[in-house]
Amino acid sequence: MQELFTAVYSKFTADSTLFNSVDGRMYNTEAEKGLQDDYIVFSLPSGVPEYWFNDEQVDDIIIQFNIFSIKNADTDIQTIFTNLKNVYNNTTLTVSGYTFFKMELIFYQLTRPPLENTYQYTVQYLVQMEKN
Amino acid sequence: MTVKKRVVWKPQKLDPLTNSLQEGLVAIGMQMSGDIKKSMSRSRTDRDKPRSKKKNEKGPITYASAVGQPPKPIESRLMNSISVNWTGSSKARGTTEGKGDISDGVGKPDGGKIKNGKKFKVVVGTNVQYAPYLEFGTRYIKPRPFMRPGFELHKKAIERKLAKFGKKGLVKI
Repeated sequence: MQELFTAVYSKFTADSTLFNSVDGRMYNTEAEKGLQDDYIVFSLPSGVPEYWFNDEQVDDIIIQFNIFSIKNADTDIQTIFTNLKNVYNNTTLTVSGYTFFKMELIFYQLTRPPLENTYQYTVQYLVQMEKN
Repeated sequence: MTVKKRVVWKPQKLDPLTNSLQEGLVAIGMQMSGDIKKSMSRSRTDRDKPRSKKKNEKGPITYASAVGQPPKPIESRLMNSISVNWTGSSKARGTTEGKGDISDGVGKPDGGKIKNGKKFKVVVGTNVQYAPYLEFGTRYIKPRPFMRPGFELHKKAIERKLAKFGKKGLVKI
């Protein structure tokens, strides 16, 4: 799924509003340690291949973004969440080797895990694409 | 805080098929709950080899679950709390097992009303406070999804069941 990760990250770097709101800090699966500013981690918690007519393989993939903010107010994280939605909601990704169908927002949740002093937005998208 | 998957069925009107469909959806919910528990009990840990206890370490030796896999039960509270509930059930909380506290069971969904009928919802989930932190991860905890993979496994079965009865439904997290 490296192709999908590349496509997701390319969208991020192409949008200056989202890119600048976290100063370019978006990480694949695991962030750098000790970060003190807002950042995003994206990962793939679930992927299910389906076989349609003539054994065409269509993948249903969940892409999850975790936005973290260590600020005492949720203002910044709300802005980043809005910027993220503006970039990824119903967007078209260019994924090498696949025909892209859709990227759809299916879940989001704002939490403040105890003991971590962090605001956290969990945002999940359903990506559907067919292997060429 | 609750992590749950919700199946919403919006009937146009009540008919003889209603009970059969509702029972079918509850049965899928039960199966989903069982599969989620199985996936947790079979989950691997970060380390395969056993380690010896550290000095002054009390209690059983534990290992972190492997990242990306369902959380391995230690005291089994989360696993035993995975439960099913549905609109009109007689329980305020879904049935938990073993060490699962009754308050850990998932709450009964409110059916609500729609034009010409009532909504029927089946909810599979847990009411354990730390469940979403394991499912989605936090700044310091990497995600160990257990609900989403179980849900994806049964999504098609739910859609087929609804289609068989010619009903429209909403399958969502």
